[in-house]
Amino acid sequence: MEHNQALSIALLAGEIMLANGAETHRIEDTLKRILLSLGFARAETFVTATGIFVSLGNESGSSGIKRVNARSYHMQKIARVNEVSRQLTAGKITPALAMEALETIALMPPYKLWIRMLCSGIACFCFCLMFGGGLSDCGAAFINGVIVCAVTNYLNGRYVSSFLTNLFGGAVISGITVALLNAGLGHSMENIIFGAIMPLVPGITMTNGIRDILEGDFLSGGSRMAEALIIAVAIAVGIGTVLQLWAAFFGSVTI
Amino acid sequence: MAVSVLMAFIATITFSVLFNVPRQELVFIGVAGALGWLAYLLIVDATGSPSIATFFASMLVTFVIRILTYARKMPIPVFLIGGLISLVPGAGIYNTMYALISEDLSGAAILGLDTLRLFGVMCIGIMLVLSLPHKLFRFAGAFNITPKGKPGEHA
Repeated sequence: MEHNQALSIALLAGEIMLANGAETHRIEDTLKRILLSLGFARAETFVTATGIFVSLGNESGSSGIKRVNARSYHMQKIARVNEVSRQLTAGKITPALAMEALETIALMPPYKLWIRMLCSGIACFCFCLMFGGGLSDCGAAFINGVIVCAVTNYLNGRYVSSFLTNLFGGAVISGITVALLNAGLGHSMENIIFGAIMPLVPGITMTNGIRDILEGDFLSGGSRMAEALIIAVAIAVGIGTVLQLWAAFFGSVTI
Repeated sequence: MAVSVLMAFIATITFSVLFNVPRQELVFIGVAGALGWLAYLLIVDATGSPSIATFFASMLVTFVIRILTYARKMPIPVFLIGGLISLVPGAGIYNTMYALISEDLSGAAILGLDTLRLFGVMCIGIMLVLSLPHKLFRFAGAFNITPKGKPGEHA
């Protein structure tokens, strides 16, 4: 087994998992299993929220580092990498085949944009109704959800930082909500916004942070929790700024 | 209440689509989310305390999800993210900020701490169930309801 091949399989598998929302302890565990099954007796892996370190404990001391910047959430990729690693460790596929499979997984497309926009709208509609909104509030939340999904998708595609993306997301939500209220759609601004911010709320980041802390990885867990806090602040600032500006221009939120 | 639980089912599924959860898992995740919301509503009704309700509902959801990970042979984040979304106190974040920009500082402090408490309670609920030993859930692997094709594929 070539050291380089083993390292590149491990790093690619780790990169896909880390960039798509897996917890770091799971990645460490998966990579270690892969390397051990490839015949390296003393492999070490260390994964933080932004990078992967892999070392093969042999005489030449091969090691690899991968910096991961991208942050999206693609559960299909995680599920497929999990499957590949399971097959590889069970000896069902060769390392070359595994590498090929991983390269295919890395290019898997997300759901189509119009499906995500529609789903975002429906989710906002449902959340609004669950939190006690009336039907017209839910309609406004639906419109919010569709537009916010398109906006965040556009910004993510241009590598805008998550802080700014969420700030714009919050600003768009409150802008649309206030505009719709003044146009006569919806009664309660609170209920519309409750529903509409749910797709932006950093629930996934927080649960991953908890998982990491539970496994004793305080470094990654702490940084994920901090990320969740920053996102929450960004949303709130976005919403607050637009509401303040609107009130400053028109005297009150509803004309 | 029936409408609300149905909404939780649909919301959980559509929310999971945003995270590209494999199509075959969406129904299962929806059931987990709907059960969690049903438990939340029932407990809030009985005790009047959102934090107790959040605690037990997030425990229930995480428990269902752990069974699903074995029955469906899927890694846990696939289910965990969508399943818990209904219980995330998103409204609390907004209320806190709204109080802040209305210059109601004491209100913001109370609401902020309340939101933090709900998040904390949810964390503890999830952590308790996640730290249960694997042995307890191994039986679910026997259900063998994994799809025939490769997991994670969608058209």
